Amino acid sequence: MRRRGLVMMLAGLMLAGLMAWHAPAARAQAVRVAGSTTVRPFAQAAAEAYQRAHPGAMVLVTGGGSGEGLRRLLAGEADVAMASRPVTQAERKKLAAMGATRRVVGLDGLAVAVSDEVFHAGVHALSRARIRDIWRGRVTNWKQVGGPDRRILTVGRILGSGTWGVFTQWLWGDGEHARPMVVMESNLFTRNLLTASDQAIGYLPLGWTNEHVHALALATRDGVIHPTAESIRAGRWPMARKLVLWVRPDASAAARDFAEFMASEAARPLLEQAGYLPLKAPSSP
Amino acid sequence: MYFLGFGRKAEARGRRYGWLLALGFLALAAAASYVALSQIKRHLIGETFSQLHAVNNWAARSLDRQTTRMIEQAGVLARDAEHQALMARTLSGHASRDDRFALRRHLAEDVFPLGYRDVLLLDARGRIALAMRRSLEGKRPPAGAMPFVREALRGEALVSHPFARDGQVRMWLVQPVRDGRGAVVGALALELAARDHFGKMASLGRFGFSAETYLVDREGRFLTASRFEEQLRRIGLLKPGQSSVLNMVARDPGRNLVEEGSEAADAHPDAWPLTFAAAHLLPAPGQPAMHESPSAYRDYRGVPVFGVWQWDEAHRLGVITEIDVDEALAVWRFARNVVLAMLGILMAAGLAGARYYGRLRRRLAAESGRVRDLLMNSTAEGIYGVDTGGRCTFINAAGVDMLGYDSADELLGRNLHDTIHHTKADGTPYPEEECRIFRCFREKTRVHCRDELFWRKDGSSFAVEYRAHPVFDEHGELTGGVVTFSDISELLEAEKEREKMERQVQHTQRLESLGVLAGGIAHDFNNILAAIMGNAALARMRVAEAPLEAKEKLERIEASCERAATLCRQMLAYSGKGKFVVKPVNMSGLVEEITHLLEVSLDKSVVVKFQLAENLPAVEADEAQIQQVIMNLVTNANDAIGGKSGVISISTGIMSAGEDYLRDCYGDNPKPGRYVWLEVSDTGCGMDRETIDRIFDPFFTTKFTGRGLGMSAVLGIVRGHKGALKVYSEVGRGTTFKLLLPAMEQEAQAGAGAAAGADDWQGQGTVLVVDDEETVRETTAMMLEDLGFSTITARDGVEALEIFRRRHGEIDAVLMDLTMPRMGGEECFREMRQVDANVRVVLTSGYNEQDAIQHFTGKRLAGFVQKPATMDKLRAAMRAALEGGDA
Repeated sequence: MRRRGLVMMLAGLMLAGLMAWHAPAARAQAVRVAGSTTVRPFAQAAAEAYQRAHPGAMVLVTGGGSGEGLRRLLAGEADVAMASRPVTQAERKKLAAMGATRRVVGLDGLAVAVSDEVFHAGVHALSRARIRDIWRGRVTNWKQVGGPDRRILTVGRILGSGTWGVFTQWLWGDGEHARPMVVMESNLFTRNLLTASDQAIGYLPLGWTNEHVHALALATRDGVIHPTAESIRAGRWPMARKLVLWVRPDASAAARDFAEFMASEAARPLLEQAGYLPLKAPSSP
Repeated sequence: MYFLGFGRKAEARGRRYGWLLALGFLALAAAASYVALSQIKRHLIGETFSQLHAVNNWAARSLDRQTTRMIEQAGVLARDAEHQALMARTLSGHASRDDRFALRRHLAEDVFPLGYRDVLLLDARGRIALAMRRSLEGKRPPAGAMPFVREALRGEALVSHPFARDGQVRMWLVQPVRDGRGAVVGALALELAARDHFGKMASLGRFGFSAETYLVDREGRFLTASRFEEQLRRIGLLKPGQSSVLNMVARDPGRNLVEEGSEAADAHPDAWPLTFAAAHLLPAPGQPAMHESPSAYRDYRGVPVFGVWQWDEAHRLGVITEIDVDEALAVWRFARNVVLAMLGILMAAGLAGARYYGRLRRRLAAESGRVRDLLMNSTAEGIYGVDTGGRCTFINAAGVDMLGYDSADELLGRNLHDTIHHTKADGTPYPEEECRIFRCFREKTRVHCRDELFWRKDGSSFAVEYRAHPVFDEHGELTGGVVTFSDISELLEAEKEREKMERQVQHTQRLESLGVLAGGIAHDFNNILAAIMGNAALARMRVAEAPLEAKEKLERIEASCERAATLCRQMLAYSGKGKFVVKPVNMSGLVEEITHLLEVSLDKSVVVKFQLAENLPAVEADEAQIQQVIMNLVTNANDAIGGKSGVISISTGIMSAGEDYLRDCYGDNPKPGRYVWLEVSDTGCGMDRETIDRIFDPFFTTKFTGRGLGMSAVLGIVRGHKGALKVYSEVGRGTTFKLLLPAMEQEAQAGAGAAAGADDWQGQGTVLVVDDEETVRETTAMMLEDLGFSTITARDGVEALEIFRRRHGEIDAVLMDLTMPRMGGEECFREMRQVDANVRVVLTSGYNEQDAIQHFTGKRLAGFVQKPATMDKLRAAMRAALEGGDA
């Protein structure tokens, strides 16, 4: 037995020596990113890319909505806050007081989206007034707006979410809101529902629309505005928003570096993949 | 030159053992490494299995947890009051359009925020009663889902296996819907989000580079994605873009497809057996359930893996966790390679080291051999070594040379005693047992010899001085010996020459001193004769008128004669070469005897003082030589005073001389002990240091006369007597010579040749007195008659013989002179003996005894009297002749 112990010790020593070669690099402090679920997919992709490029770095991305993200930032629970809506007055004051830095990492256009069957039945564009009516319940059946004979199921976002903010701001302005039938916490759930249903209408960032969930163009007095990158950049599309990162001044170098990365050209493909628009169009085709 | 046997065998042995040792060590190292490595392997495998089990259990538990959670959620949903009513109506077919919309809205609100992708209400027959899209309503669920729907409709909420729907893999959570009485009236199917699929959980059961956890159904069909879909596509088990989920079964290809990189498309995967894990998910009848592989087995790629699994009855699926053997044993492989490399290095280093060491040793041996050769050949002495059998093991160049051989090879291995030491100096053969060199070996002592011969190759010999040392090994066993020798024939010649020269010197010196003496003696003799003549004349004149006066004068004549006789005797002693006759001598007596002689040789202005000790022990000495010494010293002292007035003191005594004292003496390494000393001191001119150093050199002299041989003769005599000579001198003050001679044990009697016995011994009988001198004849006869003998006289040998022939019966003894005309004593004695062999003859002669009787040795002389014979001498001789045995 003693021999076994001795042998094990020798083996262990050898192993230890070998293991030393495989010792992992020291882990840096994790970068905590929180906030808008709109930005989140992009941030997640960026985090993965960043971690691959910087072994040992750790970036944690969580959602909760723009408001939640900003709150956490101010409370010190996050290093970077993702926001997909403009900050409120109060938020602005606090952020200024803290000395947080603001970086715009992309553009997002929001669009009203409908289920497959609705779109394919012919509903391609709606005016704001119409959408109000739908939301208010004045229009309850799709056939009233040129669609199939189905009840309209309105799907919205929770209060405080950036996406909600943009939509309601556009739809209602400062007027009184009407609540949708179903409220979803995230774009994903919204899309899930719009995909599963054949009668739903909701709103999503353009990047979330796909072959089963279709963005509607905007019918205006002057014509139909299509939600394209060009119209968004040109400012003609009303439901556009900047995707913004707020960074704490005392955040670690890694956090600041990550925010930089997200705003950089290197992250452009990831941004586009997530369905958003880089601030600038590509310089050459 | 090389050594035979000395360590060569041992060296070869050492080298062989060295190799064996090195090999043995390597073998040991290899064995130890093997054991260590196999332990590591066992340990690693154990660890691996532990890890696999841990992951596998975690996966199964996670699965459980997730399912439980989901089922709970679904249960809540199903039991929701709002839903209940609407669902009941819908299921019973009594729902209005608004009801249906309301239900849809509710379900949307409740279900989608939980992350589910879709929700369906199924009736008791399994048909879709309500869906988020109307187009689905009334239809059957996908075939893959039906078994689970049926199961759920039996009353148990469950999570389905993944099934295909519209080309996508989906999973449902199916919850039975009950009515108020608890009967199942339908089911609620919730489509799981991708992240809730088993696949997600299973993918979390991956670790390392090759470890994965995947779920399979009873048939081994993949319910979650394989980690190696890329590889599977590459080897052709999956089509491009195809997922492994539901499209693959875990079958053993029979060979490692990944390694071969081959397309398995040509093979028929369906014919392959299930992998070991898939095959043993469920216990076979009669066999206990197995949850881990006993060793490595091939997975669905053909790669050797270690695997653990468990069957989840609740989900009716198997959870398999596998890791490639390569990865599991990567550490061991690495360690093994390191160990092998180390062993290789060890071996190489060992080899190199051994070779280098061997070379070093050889070089050192050669080096020391060279040094040895250098030493041995740089000496003029011959050196050879022998083993215990007397065979030569080495011999140096000088030795070979001296023995007249051409090279050492001629002698190596041969028994040297038979070769060079076979005969003694006198020509007799020298047996080996007696050989001193052998004795040295036997008795293990050193031997030094100067009186033997070595024989050369050509048969000639030479006198040799050799020293033999025995040689021992480290255990103290005799291994042989070393003999150093040199040719001393020249040395012996030189010694002989030296001795001859010394003798010459002594002889010459004696003559010289004799010359000195002669002068003095002649002078003295003149005086003595003058005295005799004077006294004789007076006696002659006064004998008639005053006989008493005449008697006195005659007595004076007698005295003078005594003196003359003494002088004669001493002269004779000096003149003869004289053999070294050693006998006990009393130094004080000796000095007394030559007092007259001394006084004769000295200047008138010199005073001689005597301080002679009494009862001195005797020394073994030759009288004549010692007398010569004293004469020399005194003469020199006289000369040192040089005609002025001075004092010469002569003293004797006894002392114990230690090493320190003797160190300053001249002599032949005198040993410490008791010495009788004689000191001659003068107040002469003294000697300086330089002179003192040279006085013993032959032919060195500070005098005008003399040949400078005296002191060297003195020193020679002192050496011969094993004595010592000390010199003190101060220039201007004087010189002292102190002669030391080793004392004998007993005392000798004072005076030479005195016989013990009363002075009144009387003899009787007739003595034949033979002498050619009438006076001597008559005085001797008178003395004999005083002693009680009657005498017959003869004038020479012829007459004596004639008388003896006629009257030998009445003659008791013969007192015969040696030197006579016509027939000398010797011849007469011979003739007499022929008449009577027992004739007692006492010889008389002026010569000393030794010289006189040298021709009579062995001829049985009865005695000897040196002339002039005194009463005492005569008495003693006659007594000895008649009472004692033969001479």
